[in-house]
Amino acid sequence: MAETGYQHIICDPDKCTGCRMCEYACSMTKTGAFDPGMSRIRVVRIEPYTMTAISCRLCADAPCVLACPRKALTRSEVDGTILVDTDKCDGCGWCIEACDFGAVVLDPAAKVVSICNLCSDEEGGPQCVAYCPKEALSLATPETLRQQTRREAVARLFQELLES
Amino acid sequence: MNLIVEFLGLSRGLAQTPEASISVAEGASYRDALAATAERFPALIGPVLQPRTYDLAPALMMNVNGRYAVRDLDAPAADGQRLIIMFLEAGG
Amino acid sequence: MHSYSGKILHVDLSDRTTRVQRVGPGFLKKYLGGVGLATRLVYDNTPAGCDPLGPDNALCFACSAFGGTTMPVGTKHGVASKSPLTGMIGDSLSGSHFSEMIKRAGWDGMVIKGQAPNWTVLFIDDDEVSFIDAAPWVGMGTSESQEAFREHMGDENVRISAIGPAGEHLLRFATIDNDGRQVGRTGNGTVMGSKRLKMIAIRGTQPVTVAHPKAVMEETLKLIKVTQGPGTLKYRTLGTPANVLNMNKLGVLPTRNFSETVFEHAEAISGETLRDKFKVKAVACVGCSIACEQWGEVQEGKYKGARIGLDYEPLFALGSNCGIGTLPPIIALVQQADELGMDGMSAGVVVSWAMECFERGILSKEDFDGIEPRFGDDDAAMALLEMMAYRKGRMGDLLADGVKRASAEIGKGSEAFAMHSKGLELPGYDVRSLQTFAMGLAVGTRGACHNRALSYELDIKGVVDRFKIEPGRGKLAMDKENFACVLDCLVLCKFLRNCFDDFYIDVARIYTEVTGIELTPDELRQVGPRVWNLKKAFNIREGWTKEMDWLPDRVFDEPVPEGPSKGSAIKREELLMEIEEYYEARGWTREGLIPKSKLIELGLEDIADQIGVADPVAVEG
Repeated sequence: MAETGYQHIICDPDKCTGCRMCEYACSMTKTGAFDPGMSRIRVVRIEPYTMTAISCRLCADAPCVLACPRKALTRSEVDGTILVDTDKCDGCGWCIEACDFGAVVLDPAAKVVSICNLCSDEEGGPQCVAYCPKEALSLATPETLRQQTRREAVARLFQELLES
Repeated sequence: MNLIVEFLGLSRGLAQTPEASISVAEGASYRDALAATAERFPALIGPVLQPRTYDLAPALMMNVNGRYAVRDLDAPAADGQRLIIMFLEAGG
Repeated sequence: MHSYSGKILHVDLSDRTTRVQRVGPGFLKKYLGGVGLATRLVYDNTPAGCDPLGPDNALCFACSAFGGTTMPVGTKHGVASKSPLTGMIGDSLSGSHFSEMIKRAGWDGMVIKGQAPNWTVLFIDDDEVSFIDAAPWVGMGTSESQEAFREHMGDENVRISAIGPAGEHLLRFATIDNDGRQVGRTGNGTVMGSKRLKMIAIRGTQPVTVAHPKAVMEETLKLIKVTQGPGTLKYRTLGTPANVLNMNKLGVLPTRNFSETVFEHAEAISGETLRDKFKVKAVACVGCSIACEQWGEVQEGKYKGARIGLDYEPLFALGSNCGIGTLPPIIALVQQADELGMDGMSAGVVVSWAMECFERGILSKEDFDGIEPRFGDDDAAMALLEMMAYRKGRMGDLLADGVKRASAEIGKGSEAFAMHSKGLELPGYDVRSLQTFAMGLAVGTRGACHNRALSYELDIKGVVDRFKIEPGRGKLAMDKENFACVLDCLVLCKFLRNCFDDFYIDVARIYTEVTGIELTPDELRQVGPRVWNLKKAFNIREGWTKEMDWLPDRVFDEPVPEGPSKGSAIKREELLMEIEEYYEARGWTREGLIPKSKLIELGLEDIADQIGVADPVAVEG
């Protein structure tokens, strides 16, 4: 599959209200408790009204994979997600430093990292997307994102022309 | 008879005007007045007025002359009344 | 235990000691959390007759049973103390990040007593408590101090409740601000200031568990969908500012110190105008699926850059009520009130009283140190906020004590239009033509409060004839109060109240799914009257008497001059009858006291001896 074919989670900052339901849904799905600190998706909220959510971008030539001294991280050829071998990972945190998006989560008790795997093992797919009250989160590839953005821009243009 | 329908909030955004003059037959009900309003402003059908029955959407209410809430849409309207369509939810 | 931790943190700021109080499911299900638990903690931890500004007053925080979970709009917390403004119970609510952190730090509540020798930040790091010298942040505004302290700690997970200059100077209606939300009314910020507590900072790293995760997630998804529907339409589109035109159309929009009820500039300050001309974003509290906070920003002119999440109550208070007819100054005034850390509602009504005193010649320019506060003068309003926050000059000092004390001091007939009940300034709905609501405000346990009464719904929605007082209002008002009280104890945001098929059945079930504690719909329902009577009992203990359940002369003696409600006024004898009917519905005596048997029936046996009186004698014939 071509690199550009992989989907990742994107957030529309205009729709995001900063409610952080995504963090709760993710952590409950992955850990069985509400623990936003362990969520693979995190909301960045710059008061008073700038907010968006960010999670793993499924980078090609992923820096986290390259940085790992124990080769505990690999990139899935199926969906491009980063897989963590918990036997090899010892929580050293090099991948956290290497990631440009803060998308790697360390469990300090278990001393292993976790990275969004698009809920590939969940029926219903990404739970953050399912629980976002404002449908601000979606799965997209760079190409679908471009298409959607172009369509919305044109729709806005025509609406403004109609209104004027 | 002539009535004035005033649009607040959501209904104003859809009708694109704060108020409109509506004509109905003598003895017409509030429901008839809403039907006439829907004909003038079809954008209201759905979000503000139910299709066919012209019941107000659950989130909305109608007040007459700023005095009383309309509890029965089939009651008769009167000439010169102001019918105000507003949010039901009063929380502040 | 799930969700709850069963632990309440007690802190004494005088000697920097702490202890842990353990509570069990039996206790928790009686009060649930929020305002209920906070009120119980105040009752138990303050001596009768204590000085609200003294070390014996207990500032109590209590979590929500749903805090830190996905249960929509449940991540809130309650705060209570003996109010420095009213001398009665001062309960208030807030939400968002700080509420979440109380739970994640492993606490169901906090009781803060004593008085720190120097300005202090109380830092709670999971179960470790420390006291940090607050000197670097004293004098800062509410949001400024939170940002500064968070940066100092270098961790965005440190969430903070802070007071501003108003709380530091013991303005009697000072707020506690967390994350841009306010513990707004009755002066809990003042109590915090009296304890020299500048901030409470919490970092919680623990997970919050629920008893039945799968069920909770299903309920969550269902509620998320419902809260995008008609039950919340107003809040998601215009927000609470939709009330401006609504109330103006009904002739109940308080204008120029509650003298008039129709404002000629209502359109310009309406929710519609806010949305069309100033709106930048809708923002949510943590765990909220509605997002009611409509942020407006001024893009040009004198107030360029001013921005706030604008709600109806401060909008009316500093807007139509002060005769101010455009949104830019109102946005700036509310932002300033928030940053100084004072209740925007009370501040607006104090300012409007001052304006009326000036316009009538009761107070002069000299009294105001050169300011001439006329209705509509936004510069004067801004200057008065500043004066009050810092208690500048004789007038700043006086106004900072609220409209009841200020008018008692000034006299000259100004008490007739000092718009408060029990010292709490009136909310944004003119009672002269909302005659059930008039009683609801008069009997309110924290004073004149629409939020605890909710009876304005009966009048506005036409459940009753709003222009009259008729038999039956007592029970209707009581039922509204009880329902509001249950929401405040759970805690669930009131904006969720129309989103359930059967509220008590659905919410009792969800409570059990979350906490694992069995709670029947009837048991849930009983929390309402139980906590309401607890608040009432506290008030009685602190010296409440029947004549405090009343309203200012204006609502009796000055009929509404113009508009759809023209000619409306309350008749004193009718209000008294309505109030006594309410007491009867509550099972209280004609003097508004609570029979022992009633307290026992409600599960408040321990205070029945102290507060309860003999049963009212049935009238023969």
